[in-house]
Amino acid sequence: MSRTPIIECRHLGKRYPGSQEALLDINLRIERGEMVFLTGHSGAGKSTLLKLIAMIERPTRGSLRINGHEMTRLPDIGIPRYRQKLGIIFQDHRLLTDRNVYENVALPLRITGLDEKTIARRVRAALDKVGLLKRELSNPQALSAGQQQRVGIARAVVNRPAILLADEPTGNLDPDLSTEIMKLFVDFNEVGVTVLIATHDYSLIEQFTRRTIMLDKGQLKAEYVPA
Amino acid sequence: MKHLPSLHLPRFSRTAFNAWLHQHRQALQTAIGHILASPLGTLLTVLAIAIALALPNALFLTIDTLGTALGNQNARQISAFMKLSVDGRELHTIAAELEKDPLIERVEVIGRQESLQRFRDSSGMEDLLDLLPTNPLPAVLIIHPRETVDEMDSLERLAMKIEARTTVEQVVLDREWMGTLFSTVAAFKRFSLLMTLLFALLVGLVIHNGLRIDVLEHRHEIEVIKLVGGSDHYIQRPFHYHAVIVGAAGGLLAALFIALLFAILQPRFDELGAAYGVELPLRVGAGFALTLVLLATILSLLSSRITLGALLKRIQP
Repeated sequence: MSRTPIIECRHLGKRYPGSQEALLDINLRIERGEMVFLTGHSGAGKSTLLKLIAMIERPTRGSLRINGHEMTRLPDIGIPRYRQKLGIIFQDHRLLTDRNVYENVALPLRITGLDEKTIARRVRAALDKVGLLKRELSNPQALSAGQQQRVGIARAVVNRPAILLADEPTGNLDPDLSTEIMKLFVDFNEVGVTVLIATHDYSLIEQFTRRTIMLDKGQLKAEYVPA
Repeated sequence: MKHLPSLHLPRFSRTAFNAWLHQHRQALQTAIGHILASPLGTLLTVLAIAIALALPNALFLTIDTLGTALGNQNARQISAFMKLSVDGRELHTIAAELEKDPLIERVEVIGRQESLQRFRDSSGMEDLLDLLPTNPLPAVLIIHPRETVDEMDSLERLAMKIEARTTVEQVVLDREWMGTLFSTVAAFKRFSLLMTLLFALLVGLVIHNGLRIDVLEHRHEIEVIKLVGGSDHYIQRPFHYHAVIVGAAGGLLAALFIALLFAILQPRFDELGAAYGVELPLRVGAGFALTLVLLATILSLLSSRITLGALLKRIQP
């Protein structure tokens, strides 16, 4: 008997009001502990698929199962609790500039109501992992783009998520920094975190040989599984 | 990161209640921080609430004071002139019976001899009265109705009930004056109540507008909090605490405004009262002030809940 996949899409579709189908009949199965690239041109549906998995958007058809749970039936009230178990990273970092690096990373832990001691321990562990422990009191605006992205990654992993979703995480970074960021994802994947990265950077996909799913015009076009 | 991640939430060393309490403490700190960060904006909101509540309530209290004071004046009394045969112990027995009536606060007894003496003192006709073989004046019961008897109809019913007694010769009530007083006071009270409702709506709009601006200013922060798993309740909490603080402060300031206004107006009311032979004390009681604070807090919190409930649904990461 096969294990329950951590992410499973069946005939998944998304249509935004007054527009074409952004995603059409996606059938996808991602196992626990996998690292998968989602690729395709702009408008191919990569971000939409990540948004559906993060429940930022709801599918208009089909089924989306996370760890065996049907997410299309998840009521709105259950979404925050589900997101606490995810790590989400965006190209634009989405950091809060009215607080320092430490407070940005601590945010998901404060939401769960952890005590300050545990928060401090976990935040420093996450910042240490991304190499920014010495910058914990800096304002994110004082950091480089690569450092800002690493803060975003620290914030995404501080809650020990089961799934990491990254939407063009290296979009604004030069090749060296991009490689550095990707190595962090590999590190998290190696300790069992399922990582799903949307990117159109083929050089990175070639460099980090992993299962790759290609989307085109909202449809699953091709899939590459390394030997 | 040695442990394997799971889809289960981390186990807390604290109880769920402690975590909940911790979040509330954080929310309160955030709300206080927000107030300290924008003291002028907060002060303007508090002032708007205070003025909106002070105006109609000052009017209500003034009308209430005028109505009560003038209504308690002699004109609100019922004078029952007894039959000439009634005096002494019987008169006091009747007075005691009347005082048992729930509509009557107290009964003043004026015996026949006292009536004569009062008439003698006030009329200046001592010589003429000395010529009379017997005292022609009846005993009188001055009946003071309770404050709950605040309508002309109920006052008239009470007068008729007293008049129906066989020992009573005649009952005197200044119907015209009382009718005018009661209907005027009732009309002004209704007007001030309507004003209170309209100004309460204004308070709601002030809170709504302030919150809308706050939420739009914090839109990015709200999006990020939602993205990392913050619920609408978590986001709303600091705003609710802010609304409670601002509302309570607005209510308290409204009570202070009314007290200040009354302190300024009191000399004028003293002059007016002296003309009618009554006292017109303008006061904001502790109970009324507390009611104002509670009203403002509830209004503010309610506006916050309604506004945020609608606004936060529209903001998604």
